[in-house]
Amino acid sequence: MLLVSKLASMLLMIAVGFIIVKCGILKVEDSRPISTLVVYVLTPCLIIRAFQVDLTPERMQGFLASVIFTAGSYILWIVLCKLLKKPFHITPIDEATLVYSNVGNLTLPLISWVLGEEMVFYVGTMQLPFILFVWTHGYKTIQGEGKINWKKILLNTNLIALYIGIALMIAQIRLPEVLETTMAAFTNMVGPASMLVAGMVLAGASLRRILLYKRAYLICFGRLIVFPIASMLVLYVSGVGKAHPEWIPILMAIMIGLAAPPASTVSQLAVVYNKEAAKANIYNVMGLLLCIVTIPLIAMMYRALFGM
Amino acid sequence: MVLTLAKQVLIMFILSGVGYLMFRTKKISAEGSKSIGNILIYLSLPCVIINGFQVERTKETMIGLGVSALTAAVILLVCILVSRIFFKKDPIAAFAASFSNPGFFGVPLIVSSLSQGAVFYVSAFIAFLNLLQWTYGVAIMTGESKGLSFKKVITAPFMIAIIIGLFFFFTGLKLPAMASSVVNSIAALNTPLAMFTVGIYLAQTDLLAMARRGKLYAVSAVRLLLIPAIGLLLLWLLPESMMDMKLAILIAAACPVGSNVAVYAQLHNKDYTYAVETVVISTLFSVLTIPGIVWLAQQIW
Repeated sequence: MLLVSKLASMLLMIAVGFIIVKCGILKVEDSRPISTLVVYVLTPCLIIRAFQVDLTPERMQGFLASVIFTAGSYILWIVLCKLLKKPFHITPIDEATLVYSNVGNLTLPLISWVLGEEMVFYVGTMQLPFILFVWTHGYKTIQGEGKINWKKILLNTNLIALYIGIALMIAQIRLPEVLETTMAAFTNMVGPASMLVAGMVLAGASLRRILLYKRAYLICFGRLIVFPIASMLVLYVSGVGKAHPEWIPILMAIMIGLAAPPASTVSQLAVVYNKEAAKANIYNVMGLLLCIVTIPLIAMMYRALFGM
Repeated sequence: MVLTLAKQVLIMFILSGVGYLMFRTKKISAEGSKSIGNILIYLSLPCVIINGFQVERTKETMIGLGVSALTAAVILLVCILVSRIFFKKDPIAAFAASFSNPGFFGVPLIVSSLSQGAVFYVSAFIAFLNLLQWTYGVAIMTGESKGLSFKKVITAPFMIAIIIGLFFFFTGLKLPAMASSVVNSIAALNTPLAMFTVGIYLAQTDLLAMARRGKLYAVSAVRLLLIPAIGLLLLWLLPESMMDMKLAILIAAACPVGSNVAVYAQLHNKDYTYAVETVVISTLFSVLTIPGIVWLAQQIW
């Protein structure tokens, strides 16, 4: 299966980053400028380029379906957290980790590498509900109280890239050749660069401590398996797949995004507001390690359920 | 040809512009550019070299490799000697004039004016160039001749890459598809990362003062005119049947100063802004000199 072999390539890439730091050839800190480039340059370019397509009614509908599925999933999961709060002693960080997956820096490269650029278009649209929800509900949950940070929402680089991409798409403006060549090069970099960084960061983490932290398994099980399956089942029961079969592959890409490891925004907020930051980081690393197995599983389940 | 070059220069401008902005907006620091430099030297460049040898081993390619390797070695020796004559007292200038950038400018030119297959002829050139930068280049830059030790050569990331590359070439084994795609992807990081560092360094120089710095023109003249001219004469000695190889190597030798000079300068705490200026000035002139040299070769050979 092509998906598995591509994921294996990504794993190999992570391994390269891991080994090169463990062997002392490079340091963990060396990954930081690459990470910066991925966040501020490569991913926004990926998004803009993904929108260099014709605006057709089908795309428009797929766009809306993606956004609604994502937003709906967040609402479902927030409700689930409320219900499970008492029995599972879910703390604010736990909740934020369970609800918000990484739909930018990890998922976009993964999707572009594995499913192709057409899907990047739809996964790119997830930025809208993600940023809106994470900087309102997510922010409030972690911080405890306080005003909504509108600046963060409006000035988010991925969101700005989304605006630019959409504007260009509506105006049917195509980028000039030289710019297109350059951005194509960036697009090809996103996957490898992200995986390299992930591997390097993993090498710097104290893996033993992480693997022995039992609660991380529980929360990651929720984040990577239980919650995505809940969304999948609701989607199935809703009959949307029967009514719009053309959406099924699109929503699989969205599903993968929703089944990704926790969003880095969560651990960043945890650090900033000093709310169980160490825990958040452990969830991050564990999520990254486990998703290598869970994402193909979720993809297989989805395919089986929707007859792909 | 001028068009391809101009396009490359424009792309270089955009890529280094990104680096420039990252530095100016304080997203990446000078320390950060050191990290990128390390990634270039220990990860992406070795992969470029390994990739360069991923061809099928046939009688033609074996001869091609042998001849191109020998030629590359001779020409690089010439580069080093000539630069040494002119820039004995200025290590950075000597490094700059000796070592071109066959990857970024050379390869696209070779692909567009010759063929994709002709790129193989500069694989040895690129490999030797990197090895020499790591040993001789660092030695003159730091003034320490311990860089020329046998141990340093053997343990160079480039030596390891050459050995790996040659191993797969000679045994005819193919890297498993996944490993090959990973090597490919890492190699593809090389050019953009190198250009980002150029931008980051440029953000730390005085651009106006750069235009007035006479030494840069001297370095450019040696790198873009003198050395390629000598190269042209040397390559003349090769038979006409090897025209593609001759042109490919000539183009590689006629390329502007490679950005590595600045990367190595920073890693060894030397004047990397001066180094990057040699890159920029020589790049601008190369748009005219490379086509000129190639045209000359086609007349004379």
